[in-house]
Amino acid sequence: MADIDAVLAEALDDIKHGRARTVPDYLKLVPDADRDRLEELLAIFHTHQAAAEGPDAVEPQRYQEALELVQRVFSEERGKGELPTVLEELRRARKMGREEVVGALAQQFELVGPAEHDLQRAYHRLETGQLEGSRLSDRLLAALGSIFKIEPRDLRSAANRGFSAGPLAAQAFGRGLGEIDADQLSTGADDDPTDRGRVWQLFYGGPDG
Amino acid sequence: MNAIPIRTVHHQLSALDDATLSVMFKQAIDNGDQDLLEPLLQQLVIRSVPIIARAVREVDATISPRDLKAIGDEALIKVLLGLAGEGDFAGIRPLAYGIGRECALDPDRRPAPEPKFSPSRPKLRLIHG
Repeated sequence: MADIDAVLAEALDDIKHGRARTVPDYLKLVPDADRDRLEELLAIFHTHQAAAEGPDAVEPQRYQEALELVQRVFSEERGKGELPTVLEELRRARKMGREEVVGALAQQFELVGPAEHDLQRAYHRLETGQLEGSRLSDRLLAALGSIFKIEPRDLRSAANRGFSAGPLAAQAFGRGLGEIDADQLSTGADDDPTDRGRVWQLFYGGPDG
Repeated sequence: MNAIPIRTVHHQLSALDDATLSVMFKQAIDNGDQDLLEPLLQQLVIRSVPIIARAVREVDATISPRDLKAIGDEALIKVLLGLAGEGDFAGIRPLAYGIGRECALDPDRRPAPEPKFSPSRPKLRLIHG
């Protein structure tokens, strides 16, 4: 492992000569204990450089794409609500399939078999705007936060904004929720100790579910 | 009373500093002020995009345009959720820079797959004469 000062000097020299590697490449060169400090020093350097040079030039098309993305997230016309669109867009940006998210949730909550199948259906309904944001549990939002690397409180805020049970939700509730028994929905499944009851609590049990 | 033309609103907002703009955005969200929300969002996005791009390129100077776009999209969503949420913020630029950097440094991030199509062969022919 190299000395932090030597690696910092090397990084700055590389940046100066236009041959910079990635920040993680430099971090790997120093002992674990020095990595936070090196990252901080590089960030300070970059901040000064940014202040001197101003923001990078960005292709005009990128602005258009960004505005379209925001339009998709906040558009009320889509009727899905903010959180479902946010989850879908984050998944797309992170190149994850829906099944991967379900797999990660199943692993976190140790759900297998029929319960995993219920989880898959419930997550599909969540992403397609068929669930009520106020009924999502904090545990579920924390798990999604860890998968998508986002603050759970931001997901909760998104769930609370424009995430009402619209026509799609009414349709879903009207026809029941497939593998999860409709009686469970009307009576609640708070007392159901099975794995399938745990899925219900995650998606329908409210913040404390 | 006549409504203020949307173009005038954009011009007025573009003259405001970042912190004021961020506070106005939060208020528009809280009050459900859709008329103001759209131009505010556009201002914030326009200010965030180059900051995020810079933060990402600082972490990886050789990043591909596809990865830059994917990370930029992720960062942009997180910036806007952060603004609209309950957290405190100093302004759009430090927020965008911090989140852009965080997204680029994420060890779990996957590189964008290569396009599946193959480049077309150039159709060349000799011209005699």
